[in-house]
This record gives sequence, structure tokens and C-alpha cells, in this order.
Amino acid sequence: MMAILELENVEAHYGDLQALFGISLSLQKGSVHSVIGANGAGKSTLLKVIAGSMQPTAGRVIFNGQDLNKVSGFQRVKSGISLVPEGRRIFPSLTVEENVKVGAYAKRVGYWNTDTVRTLYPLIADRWSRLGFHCSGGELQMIAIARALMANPDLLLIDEASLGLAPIVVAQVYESLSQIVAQGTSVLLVEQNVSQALKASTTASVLLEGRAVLTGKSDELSHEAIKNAYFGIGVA
Amino acid sequence: MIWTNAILQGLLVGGLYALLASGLSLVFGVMRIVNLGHGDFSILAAYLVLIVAGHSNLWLGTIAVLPIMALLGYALQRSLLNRALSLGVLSPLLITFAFSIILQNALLKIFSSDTRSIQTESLGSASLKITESISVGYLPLITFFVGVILTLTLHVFLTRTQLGRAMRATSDDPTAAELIGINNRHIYGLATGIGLFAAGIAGILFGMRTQFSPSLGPVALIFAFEAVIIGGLGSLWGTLVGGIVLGIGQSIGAQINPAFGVLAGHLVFITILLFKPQGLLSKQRGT
Repeated sequence: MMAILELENVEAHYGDLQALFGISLSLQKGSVHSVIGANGAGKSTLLKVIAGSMQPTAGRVIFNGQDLNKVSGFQRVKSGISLVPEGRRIFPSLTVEENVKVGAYAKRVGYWNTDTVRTLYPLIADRWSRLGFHCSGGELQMIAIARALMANPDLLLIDEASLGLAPIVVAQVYESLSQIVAQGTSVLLVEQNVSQALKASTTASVLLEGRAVLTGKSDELSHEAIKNAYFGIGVA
Repeated sequence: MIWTNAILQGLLVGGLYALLASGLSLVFGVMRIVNLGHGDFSILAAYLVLIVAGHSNLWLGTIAVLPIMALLGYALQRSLLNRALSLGVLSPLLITFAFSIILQNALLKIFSSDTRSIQTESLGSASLKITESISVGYLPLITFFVGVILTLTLHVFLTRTQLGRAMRATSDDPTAAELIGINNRHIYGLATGIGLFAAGIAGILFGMRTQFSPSLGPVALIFAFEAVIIGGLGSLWGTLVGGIVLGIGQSIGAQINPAFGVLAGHLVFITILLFKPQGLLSKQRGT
């Protein structure tokens, strides 16, 4: 199997504050990797570095064999990386239809288009002409994923897939994930909901204060090991 | 009948103000930048047409000058204004103020302060007789329709094309726009390019209708700005309506007393600021 994404000793800073410490990670093509961690563990920072909205201060991000350090954020979409950002960031003055359509700006071809995302999320199809501003949390999350899919990414990054959503919506979002992966897209998932993340992913890492303290196959990681890593029990 | 005429003439002048204001409105809507040099750029376009038309003919001049204005806008945005935008709100404002000063003085140096006008042969004075006492000039009529067509075109561009949607998306949330592959700098460049293209159309039609001199830019800017505010910030149709309201206000004022026209326009503007500060057609939307 070939790695679609590789991180080599990635470090990142917010001013003087170091947020990521030597993160290395390898994501196989067609797999789902979840990154688990408490608030402030550096999960979102990690996604920003991969998506290019933040520059790493050290280390390399390699995507499909290409070093991304000189590729700016908007160009990475063209290369095949799409991020569903924290807070969803749906354009409020655009309708649902326009939000979805503008997602195809990078003009990448593939399975996903307005028809296939409407089939994936029938709820979006119902809200098609509503303004983004008027949509509910669950709708926003589905629109955000649909918008990202319109770029037909090879790698989909999802930040806080279930945060603030009703359980039934969380179930729908995770169900759609398997259909997305079935179309050949690899997924990197950031979650606070540990059991949900482990169920949906093939591999997982636990971040603690900017360091990857535990990595392994999702079904092989013990509950105890994850708990210790998550809370830093037994870590000096 | 006098008043009907005043309103009709005001409506047509309003078309010119709307033309002047549409570029200002678009640039503000997309980037939250007020281009203080907007009026001077339209005067620049009028002078450029004088130069080009001097070597060929008027229509060729107009067709040549408008793309130059658009390219100039794109280049200024990509080279100077984008950099200024990252420094805060004040920097782009100061830079456009600098454009205004530089343009005025450069035009003064090159063309002197003599008033000029773009000669249109018969078109400038030809008119359409509607009733015994009311007739409208072809040029004001053309100006008005160009204003409506430009607004309509911009509307279709912004709502029906992928590039237009990308422009509105960038206006809503530049960070999220980058995440779907939009190069904001390019979009900003296009917005200013379109803005100066529109300023160019306005300046050329203005130069055909009346006399102009290098010092007229700031006055044009004030009228354009008033039209934008009256209509409601960020609304293109509002800008058209704002231009018309301002034009009619000035025209009715001038009918009362010829010296009262411009003042009446300002009074209409202040009245609307007092009672409907968000503008006549403002879009209420969340942040």
C-alpha cells in the first residue's frame, strides 16, 4: 500500500508558543485515520498545517509523493486536499446551492457533483435554495462536507466532525463517511468523540499537548492505552 | 410639467451617478475598501480617451481605454493594495488617497487645468422629443441605459457564474474561500479591475456630456459615495437606486433654484442617513 500523506517531524508555532512537536504520521491510500485528543492538543493545528492555512516551522508534509512546503493553501485544493474546517465556515450570504457549487472552483473531476452530493445528503437537497445563514448545525456540517467533496479530493480532512451535533446527525455524517471512502477518498478525521472516531477509522493517533503519544490500528488500541494517552497518565 | 421634466432629467443624471458608484460599490462589497481615488480614475479614463481618440476615433478610443482601466485596476490591486490589506483597514485607505493625489497632480501637469470635453459630434446635442415641453438628450438616455445594463450584468455575473460566486464567497469569508481553492488575491484583483472598468465607462460618458478638468475627481467620488450610501452598502441594485435618488434630488433642487441643485442632493443624502442609515435597499445579513 502506498502512503497518500506523510508527515515528517512537523512542528508548528503560534508566535512563541509551540503547538506541534515533531509529529510524524503516515496515512495509507483509501484509509481513514482519526486524530484524537483533548482541547488544545494541537488537532486543528495539525489539519491547518496539512491544508496549508498554516506554515510548519520545521518538518515536511508530503502528499502523493510531493513535498507541500512551497504549495500555498488554495493550490493544495487543486492538488487534491480539501479541509472541512472547524466551525464549518459556510458562506452565510450564499444559498446552499451556491455554497455547494462554489466548492467545485478548483475544477477537479471525479465522482462528486451536485447530483451525487444531493443523493449523499438528501437533507441538503431539501434546503437547496435556503441561505447558508439560516441553516442549522447539522445542515451546516453536511453542506461543509458536500462543498469539500465538490473538489473531488484525494484526501479529505474533517475537523470536529461531530462537535455540537445531535446524535442522529452524527450517525448520518459517519454513515456518509463510508460512502465517501468507497469512492477512493482517504480521510483524516479529527475528533473529541473517541468511540465514534475509533469505530469509523482504520488507524488512529492520540495527541497530547502537541505530541503524538499513541498511534496504532483503531481496533487494536486498548481502551486503557487510549485513556492514558488522552489524559497523559504515566507521561512525565 | 416643469416638475415632470425635472424628475426625468434627474433620473437620467442618476444613471450617471449609478455608473460612477457601481465600481465603488463592488470593490467595497468584496474587500471593504473604499477607493478614494475612484473619481480620479474615471477622470483619468476621460483624458485617456481624449489621447487615443485624437489618434484614431472616439469609439475605438473607448474600446481601447476600458481594458486598460481594468488591467490597471488588477495590477494596482495585486501589487499594492493586497499588501496593504494585510496591514489593516487604514493602509488601503491611505494608498487609495495617494492614488487620488497622484492622479490629480499628474493630470494637472500633463493636461493643465483647462476644462476639456470629449467631442461626440451630433450625439452630444441630439435629443428625443417626448412632449411639447419635455425632451431628453440621447447621451443622457444612453448613459442611463448603460448604467442599468452594467448593474444587470454585474448581478448576473455575481449570481450565475462560478467566478462571481467565488467573489461573493471571498467577500463572506476569505479564509474559508482559500480552503476551497480560491486565490483571494486574484479575486481581489478582478474586483478592482471590474471597479476601474466601470469607473472608466462612467468617466468617458461624463466627459462626453460635460466639461471636465483634473480637479473633478473628488466631486465625482462624493456623488458616487452618496449614491452607494443612499442605496445601501454592498447592494448593487441599491447603488443604482441611490444614484437615481441623488440625481432626482439634485434636479428638483435645481428647479427650485439653479444654485440649489448640488446642495439639495447632499440634503437628500443626509436625510436618508438620519432616517435609514443602512440605506434604501441594504441587505441585512449576519456576520
